[in-house]
Amino acid sequence: MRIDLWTMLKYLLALFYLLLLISCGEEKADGTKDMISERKQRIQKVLKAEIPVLLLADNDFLKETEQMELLGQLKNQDFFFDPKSRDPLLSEVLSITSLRPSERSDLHVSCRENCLRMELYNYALNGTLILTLDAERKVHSENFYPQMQGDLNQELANLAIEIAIRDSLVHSEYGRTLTRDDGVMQGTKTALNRTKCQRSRHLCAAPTFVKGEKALWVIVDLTDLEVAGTAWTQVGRTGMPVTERSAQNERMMREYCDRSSSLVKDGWRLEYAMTRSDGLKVYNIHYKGQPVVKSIKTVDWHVSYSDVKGFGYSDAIGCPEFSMAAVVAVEPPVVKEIVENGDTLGFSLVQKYHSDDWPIPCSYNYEQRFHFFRDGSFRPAVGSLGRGCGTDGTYRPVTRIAFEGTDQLFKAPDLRGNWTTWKEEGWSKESELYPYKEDKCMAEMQIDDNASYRIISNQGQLGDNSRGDQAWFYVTTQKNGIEGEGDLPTIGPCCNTDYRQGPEKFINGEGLKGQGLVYWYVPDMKNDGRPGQEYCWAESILINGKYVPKVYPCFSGPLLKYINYKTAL
Amino acid sequence: MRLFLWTGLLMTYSVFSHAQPCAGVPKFLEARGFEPGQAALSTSERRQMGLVLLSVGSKEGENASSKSYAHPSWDDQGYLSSITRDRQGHIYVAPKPNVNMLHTPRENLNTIFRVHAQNETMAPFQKLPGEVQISNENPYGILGLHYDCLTDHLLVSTVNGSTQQEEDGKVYAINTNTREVMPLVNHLDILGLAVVPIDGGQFQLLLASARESLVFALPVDIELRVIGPAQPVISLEGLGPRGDDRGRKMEYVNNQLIIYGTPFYFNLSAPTIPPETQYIFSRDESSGKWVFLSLR
Amino acid sequence: MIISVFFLLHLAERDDSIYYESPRLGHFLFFDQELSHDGKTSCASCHDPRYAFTDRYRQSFNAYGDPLATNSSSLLNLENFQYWSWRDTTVSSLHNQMKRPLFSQHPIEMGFNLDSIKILSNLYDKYSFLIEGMCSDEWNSDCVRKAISFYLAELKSRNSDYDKWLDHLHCDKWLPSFEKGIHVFFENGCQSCHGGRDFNEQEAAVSKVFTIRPPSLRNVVLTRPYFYDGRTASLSAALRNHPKHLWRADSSESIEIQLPQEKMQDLLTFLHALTDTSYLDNPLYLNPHEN
Repeated sequence: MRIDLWTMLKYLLALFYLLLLISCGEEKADGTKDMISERKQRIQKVLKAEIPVLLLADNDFLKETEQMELLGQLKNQDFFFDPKSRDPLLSEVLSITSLRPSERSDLHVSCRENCLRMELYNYALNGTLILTLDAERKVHSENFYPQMQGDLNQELANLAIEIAIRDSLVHSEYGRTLTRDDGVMQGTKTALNRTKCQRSRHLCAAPTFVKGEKALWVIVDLTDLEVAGTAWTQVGRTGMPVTERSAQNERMMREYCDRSSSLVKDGWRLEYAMTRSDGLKVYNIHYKGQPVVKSIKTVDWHVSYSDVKGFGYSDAIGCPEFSMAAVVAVEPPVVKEIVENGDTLGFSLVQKYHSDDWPIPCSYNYEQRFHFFRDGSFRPAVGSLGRGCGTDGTYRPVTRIAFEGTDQLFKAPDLRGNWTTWKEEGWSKESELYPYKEDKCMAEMQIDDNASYRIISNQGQLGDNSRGDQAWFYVTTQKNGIEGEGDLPTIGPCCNTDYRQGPEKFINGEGLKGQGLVYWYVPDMKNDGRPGQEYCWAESILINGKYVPKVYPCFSGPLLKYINYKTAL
Repeated sequence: MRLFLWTGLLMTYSVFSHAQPCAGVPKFLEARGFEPGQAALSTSERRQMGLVLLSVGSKEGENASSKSYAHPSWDDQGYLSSITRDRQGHIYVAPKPNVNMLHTPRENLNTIFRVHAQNETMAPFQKLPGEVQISNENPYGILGLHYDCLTDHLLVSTVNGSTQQEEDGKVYAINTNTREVMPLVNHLDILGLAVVPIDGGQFQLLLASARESLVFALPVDIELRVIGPAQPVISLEGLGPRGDDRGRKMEYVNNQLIIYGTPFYFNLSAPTIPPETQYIFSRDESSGKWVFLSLR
Repeated sequence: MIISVFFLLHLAERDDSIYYESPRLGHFLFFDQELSHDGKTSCASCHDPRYAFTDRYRQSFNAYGDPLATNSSSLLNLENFQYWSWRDTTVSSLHNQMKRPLFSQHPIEMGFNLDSIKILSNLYDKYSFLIEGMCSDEWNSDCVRKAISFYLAELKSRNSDYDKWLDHLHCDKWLPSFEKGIHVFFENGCQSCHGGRDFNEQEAAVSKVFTIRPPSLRNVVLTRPYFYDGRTASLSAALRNHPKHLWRADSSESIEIQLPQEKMQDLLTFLHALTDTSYLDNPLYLNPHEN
């Protein structure tokens, strides 16, 4: 077939327009991604440069090459590189402005006309370097301000808004998709001057979106390029910015503290709520429609640094405000699938807590993981992600499991390995001589004639790199169903090395028959800060120019393996 | 790494040479071999509960101690709050739980204890009016203690009974000679306290809120009679590294107000080194407003 | 030689009244924090009676939080010790051994010599009635060490289930695995280093080449963590990874005690049966300043 020139030209033009449409569409749809991707690529490139600084492109005073040359002359190169390892520390030029007369006294400079002020922020050190430059553009003074963040420039402000309006959390809070025109620019300017992000020590911005008489503050973490949290305020009442920690606290208190949420999944139905000082409590637990467990919670966290001197802490975990909690919940609980070799075995309900400035020494990071398996088994695991106050400490979290009903029988092997049904409240301790049954079973809670839970000892075989619990366990009665159900204050001292860990206070010789039973579990986990052998430990390491935590977690908790006698037969 | 366990951050720290001008030096200090200019009281030693007397370096900022002393009665109430001294050198403290409630007798959350300037013994001095309420939501009682030299009264704030929904804190002034307790403020949860003179022979009782980053001013006369309503006059919101500090303690020195700001959320603190920033304000006489100068 | 030195120490204080007083002075000194220059550390800070006179740290710490070189040793049944240091074979008496914790400066342990005049003066004020009987010639650090040596010589713990078994007491209560454990212990030659009455005596051929003193196995369950550097927290892990090179200077191998699970359990049962805490009923072993 012959194609004439005009036809060919038409086809080419059509192809050209088609390509144009596709590329424009991509750019528009992916505008945000491009901005964030571009930012990440820029960061990677800059970390390999001679001086790892994101330079200020748009300014009236210094070109990028001039900025780089100037920074190379600074005396304090430790601002750019870790003093020991010489790894790059990411920083950014936030602003270059004329030096105002009032700033001369603040910065103790005697600069005359045409002097400049250059502000750099270091993401790793979370500090600001302020330079004054004289008329010849030579460095007149250098002043470093730790834990201070300068004003954000327009590029960062734009980035913050884009991250905010693309976040699904923000959509659900606000109620619809947002655009740049939704009153964000004005709010951003106010927020930029006064908003600080403190818990993670990152650079943050708070673009604001007005809705009626309220405003939604979106805290954007510009170090990690994601939304950190949201909060509503009344417009005009305060006009005050909400810090990230306040936003987190408010959300936790509003949505999770003392408020019940429910979950139905994999044959399980349960409710959960953050308590004031007993961590996340999971309760009304049903399996296949049958109530099995009344509640599970972590009552205390005992941390001992000296068995001789008895020095340590007896922490509690829970709500971030108005509570007895010493280590507070910083984010909401999340549900995760348990997958092994490609098979989904169940799900975990995970709640994290940590103290400010973790993982510096003497900060704490705890985690509760409630594992629920499709076969009816469950495991309340609690762990530490470091760091603690010493390299030779012992962690002993106290977990309480209250069973449903009053027909339970508790059995454990005696010294000779024979199953014995406990008649009274009491306690026992795992040890090397403990007469475990098959599969490291250390006890059994028979819930009724048809089913029981085999309590499997955690000796590192449960898939979380644990080094074993060596736990004390106690069985008490529920005392008319109320004892211990409410928020408990700290029940035990930090540093006993015997059975007196707190639950023994509920033992008063009562008979177990016809009573609802409570199983308490207190593992004995020794931390280790020695290089190469870390356990229950954490430290900061430098990655891509910023410090990130590296954790060596320790988790404890028995597995309660469900045995249905009918199906087992 | 363990060295920091032993230096201990002396956050609640009363240095004898730097205290209020009228604060007397306890007689037992020298009897115990401490130099007033090089001694300090602390209630935040990491490994020792209660009150501790330390010898410190003469240089400012030096806090490594080589000698310490604590009378056996000084840890009877567990962890303690801020320290203040009166003209005779008697020391006033109150129980304030730290990390947990194990060592704090709850019935004494609203009781001020006094360490006698001569016999060193710590004993109950005055219990604030009302029943102590014990709650898992708010573990605190007395938070602020300040001996005011201008009016010669011990100022005390308590938040016992306050909840998330209801602010029920109170501020009292106590005559340390007669032990008369005078209520000043209701329904305000207050951390830091200070009295500053203003024009016309009047005074402002400054009250740093425990719930917000605000400082209220209550006009009072020399007898601490309230002569006007409390108004917010200073905001710490957005200032400093955290942006939402509460004023734990306030000092009015050389016409400047130093506010020691720290995070506070009515929960027990984890045993990290508590962060603190000093915010410095001065009062513009013409407008009567407090102006932020700097922080350190 | 060691025995003769110890014997001579006893001979020097042969007077009954003085001999009666000697453990008492040492008892007070052992638990007295004023023995250290900072007033915060006593011998008991690293040797707590509740843990068979150890402290349960991997490596002990001084008052400043500085780690010391080794794991804290038990001080029970010392009279049969051949050596009083983990690694230094020249420390041949308890009297000499105390020089390190009292006088060491790198790191400082108790720092006695940093303020010895003041310490001795304070101690004399407190214990003059005991000191005059013991050290009528001169009150000095030598006397302090002597007093504490006499006290430590009194600390014994040989009332474990194993001892009762040796005396044929309560035979019916023994677990079958306990007696099997004894056989496992001897069959595998453990007694070549952990022999004798207190399970810390080496056979002659072995003792010539050892570099680390084998500790006594009495109360071993209470004295974790294990080995001179506290590397292992559990007894079963210590058995599984027992380093051979610790005791043979010419070998870098580890003894991996390869035993079937059941025999390992029997051995553990036996080691547990070496536990005796009945001494805690005796005030001589407890802190006199608190009682």
